Amino acid sequence: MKKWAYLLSFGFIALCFQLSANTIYAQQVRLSIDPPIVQTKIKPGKSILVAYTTENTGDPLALQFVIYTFRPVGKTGGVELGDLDGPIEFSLENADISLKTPFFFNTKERKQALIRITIPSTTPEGDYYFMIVAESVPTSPSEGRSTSLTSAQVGAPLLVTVTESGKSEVQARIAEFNVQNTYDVRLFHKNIKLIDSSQRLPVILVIENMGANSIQPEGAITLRKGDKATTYTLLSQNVLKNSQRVIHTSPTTGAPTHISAYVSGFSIGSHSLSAQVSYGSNTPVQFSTVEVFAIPFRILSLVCVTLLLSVGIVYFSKKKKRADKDSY
Amino acid sequence: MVSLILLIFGFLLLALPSQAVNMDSNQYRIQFGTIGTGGGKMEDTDDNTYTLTSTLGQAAAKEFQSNGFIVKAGFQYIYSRTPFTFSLSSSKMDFGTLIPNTPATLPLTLSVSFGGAGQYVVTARADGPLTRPTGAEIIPFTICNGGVDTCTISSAKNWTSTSAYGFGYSMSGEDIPTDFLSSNYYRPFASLIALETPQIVMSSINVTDSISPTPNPSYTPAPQLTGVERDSIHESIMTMKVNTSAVQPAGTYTSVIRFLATPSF
Repeated sequence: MKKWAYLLSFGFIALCFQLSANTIYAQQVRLSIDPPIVQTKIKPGKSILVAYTTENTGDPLALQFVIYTFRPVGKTGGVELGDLDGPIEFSLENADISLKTPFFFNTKERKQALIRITIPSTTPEGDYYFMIVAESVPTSPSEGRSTSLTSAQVGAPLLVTVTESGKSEVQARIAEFNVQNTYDVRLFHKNIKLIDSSQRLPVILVIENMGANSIQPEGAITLRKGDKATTYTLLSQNVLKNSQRVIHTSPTTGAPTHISAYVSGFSIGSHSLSAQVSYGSNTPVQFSTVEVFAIPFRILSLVCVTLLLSVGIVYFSKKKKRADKDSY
Repeated sequence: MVSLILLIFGFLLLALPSQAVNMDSNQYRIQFGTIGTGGGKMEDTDDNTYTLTSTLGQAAAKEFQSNGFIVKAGFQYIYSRTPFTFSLSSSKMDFGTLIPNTPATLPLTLSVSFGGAGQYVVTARADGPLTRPTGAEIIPFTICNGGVDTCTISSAKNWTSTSAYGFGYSMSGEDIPTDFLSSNYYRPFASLIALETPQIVMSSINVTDSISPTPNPSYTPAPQLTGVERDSIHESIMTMKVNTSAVQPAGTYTSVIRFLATPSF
């Protein structure tokens, strides 16, 4: 009896160990940052405090906060980081952590980094772009084994506009408004873009910012045929100073980053695609238009193939009949 | 008696550890101490003369003004409480003992959750090639099969030859560059010591839920939402590959790959 009691107890404890064991994963790095972007317009001589919350939902790791400058790369929102320089000063207000100094960051821990941004009174007016980065410090390599270590950096853009008056410089243009996958023909001294009426037409709208401050284009891409119009509203994306950017639309059309929108719903005939863009109040509205002519190529080719097949079948069946008659 | 003690011990083991969230500190001034319970877009149902966007908490868009500055945090066109999150399935890719002319491959899962952000970009760059601690010997970055199949940091090509040596990566899954045509397509890593620009390995623009019609809360009638909700976690797999020649000096080689995930500006 006693033996059974021991056995039962042992079995129960084994079960308890099994149930209380935490799920173990490979050394995973999982970091989040919030808010994802901060944009500020500030006078010289002022300072502000911005709180960034970072959370570790992966394994324990060594983490550090680093602030970089960044510049846009390409037209699709890519960035390249650079070392921190320039007149704007940053300091971490937390008592227990410092910038560029790793600290132990446990699983499920949250850390709020209080970053003070100080604009010296001598700071020239203009835009300054920074990236607040929480980065994991690579671990040690395995002894005697070739290893590739990884570091996860999660960043939040910080866009600072230094201005005394509060006004921004707006100098922008539609650098490109075009459609892809068209068959271009020249008829009656006119370039005509032919498209298949059943296709989704990739539309590209690129805005170039030639000014000293970032801008947020507003407006829409509109597809018109007669009285019918379908509108795709432009998303309020930042175009940073001296850069170009592909502007996307809402609702999303499943387009990749280098395409503004997939436009569909063409009927046979001529259509007008137009972009209407402005850059805030008291700025002129810019227009660009592309004419396309929709033809049901797929249906036509299907009809042609069906016709050819039918003619072929009739021809060969007649030929066979004739051959059969001749053989009699 | 012993059984009773063992049973009590077992019950104690079953108790799950409780976890507290450290919310504040005497040393902190919590500037955005609001509780995030909602946020959204409201429209005038009578004559549509106004639209009010509101957010609660810091994670969603918020604007405040004071003397001399304006700050906007978050994206005004997104209503979300999900922070921007990036994860790597492993912090260490252990290739073990490398055997000449026998490629070693290891997968690394990259995952991005961007409910609170619109567009995102993930870039990758190595500090340098796989290097021995002495720094004298390296396993160079791959050029893939060579000839017409010569890959670069921005163009993936076929790497199938066991006599083509080096270190590189392939991508599969969501939001990856279009030049990774198959699992045999590889690129070398951009290198910090060569002052090369970090290369985009994942990127996406997907700022609103892919449900039709677009969510646009109004009082009556509520729109009938159809379709599939947006997949807010995007995942890809990076396969790292190392192939060494018989003349590669024996030893332990190490490199650091840095992944930067940013919500786009």
